Amino acid sequence: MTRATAIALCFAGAAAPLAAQSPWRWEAALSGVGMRVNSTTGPASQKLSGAEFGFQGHVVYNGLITLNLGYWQGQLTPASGSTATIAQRDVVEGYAQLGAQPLSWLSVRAGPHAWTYISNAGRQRWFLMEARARAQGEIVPDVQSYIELWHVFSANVNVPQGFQSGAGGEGGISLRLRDVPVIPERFPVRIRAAYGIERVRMNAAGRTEVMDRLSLSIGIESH
Amino acid sequence: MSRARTAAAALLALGIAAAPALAQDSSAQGAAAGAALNSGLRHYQSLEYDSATIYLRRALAGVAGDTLSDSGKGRALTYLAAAELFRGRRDSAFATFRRLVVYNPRARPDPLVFPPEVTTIYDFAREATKVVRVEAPRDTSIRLGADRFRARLFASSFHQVIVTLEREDGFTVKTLYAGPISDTLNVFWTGEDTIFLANDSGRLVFSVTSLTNAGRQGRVVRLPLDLVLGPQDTLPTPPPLPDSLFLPEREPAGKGLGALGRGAGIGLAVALLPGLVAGGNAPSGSRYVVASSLSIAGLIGFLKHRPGRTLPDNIAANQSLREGWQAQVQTTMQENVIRAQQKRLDIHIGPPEVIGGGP
Repeated sequence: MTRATAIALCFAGAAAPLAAQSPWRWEAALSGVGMRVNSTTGPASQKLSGAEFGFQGHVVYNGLITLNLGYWQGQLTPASGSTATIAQRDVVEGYAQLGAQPLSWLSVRAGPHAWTYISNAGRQRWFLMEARARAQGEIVPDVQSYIELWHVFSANVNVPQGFQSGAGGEGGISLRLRDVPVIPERFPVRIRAAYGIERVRMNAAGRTEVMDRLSLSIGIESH
Repeated sequence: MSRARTAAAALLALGIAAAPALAQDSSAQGAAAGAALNSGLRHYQSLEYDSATIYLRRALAGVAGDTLSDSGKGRALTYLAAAELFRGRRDSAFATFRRLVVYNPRARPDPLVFPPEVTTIYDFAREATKVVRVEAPRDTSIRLGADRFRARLFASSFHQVIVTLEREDGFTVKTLYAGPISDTLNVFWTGEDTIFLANDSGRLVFSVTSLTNAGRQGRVVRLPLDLVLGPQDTLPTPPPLPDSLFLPEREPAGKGLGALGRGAGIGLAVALLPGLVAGGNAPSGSRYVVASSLSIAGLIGFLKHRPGRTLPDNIAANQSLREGWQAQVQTTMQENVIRAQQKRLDIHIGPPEVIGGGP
């Protein structure tokens, strides 16, 4: 956790000079994610829940080119209702995606999204290539809403089954705060709450991996 | 008869052949004054003062009129006076410098070019010559009772002047100034002496009389003023403000409904996400937290921008805009009332006439 926080602060620190340059806009946030994972193989299902913490951010150049980054790590424990005996596992997750913002309310991006489960049984790596589309709009001044949908077009997973399909979605609300103590006035604070869910289906044995997340984040952004 | 025709044709041919030659001669005369000036200056530089005076006098005289420019004529007179002085003809130098002062009271021999004995003679000539040059705009308009006509006088040296407005028959309408002038003097006229003009037009003469040291009339410069009285132009009424400048005073329907749509719509989408993208697998109840937050925010947005709600800030801004426009209209109307009572005087200055005072 300490490492994630340090990385997040470094990211925010590195992004700060960009605010002085007009073509750049950025946002950097610390976030916590409440996760539920439902891994189903035939009749058996493994349900885990837990939390992960990390950072996320994005940079927009010239209002057109976007780069989104995120990194979290945490721990999952068996959830009530699980039909199999399962051990707790650590999870490390991240993404780095490049995109474009053709309209002020619409952005698209694509790139890898990966996570790894680490348990006594070994490591299970999920490496997905995704394409996402996001629409956003202002509800009232300083309050924004967004909905994001994505499609997984390829996956590399070290499980016996091959990748079949995957999709996901996320919606959320964010509030921008000004005149926050300590934070310089030129960096408004943004608080965000979002819910997302993603399902990946494998070819054989009817394996399905469903992850749903409730995330809360707080960060700063350029004007 | 045939011989007469032949003679007429020969004369015509001679005329046609001679015409370009005459034209060429005329243009050569125009260039000749400048060439003579340059020759005079060259001879002056070579200390050949006798020949320099010949060329400079030729440049100043001109056969078909003086073609030298104002500055050229000033240079020619200055070098001629200096050449005369170096030829030992002090009186001629003095007289030439007086010509220069009369021609342009502000002209001065350059002290970097001419030695002190030359500039001293010039100073004597300037002191002895009491002339005034008058500068005024050729065409101008003034508002009677509000503006003034201005003429600027440049004196050669300190002396007394009398500036008057006269009728063409010599009757003095008004004395604008009587007193000393040292270098420059601004003389103003309000134009109010034009009330007597028949048919709102007429002519007066702006007359400047320079007095000698003995108090006698020296030189008189007379500028004919052609005057036309007319109504003052009024200002146009400011055009009504276009609607595009006004802000909406009531909330339009779109904004509130848009906020509701974005909030409640996305909230609903979040609630339905598991069914949409995960086939309804393992949804958690946490999505309702986000969905309800979005819906509440949308509702607040709708209430804040509910259609038909009055917008006090916009109303105040529009009111301020209207008041500003009304104040402009009021000011314009008041100005036009004043202008309706005023008259405009158009003044055209004719060619000046100089009487007496020549060197």
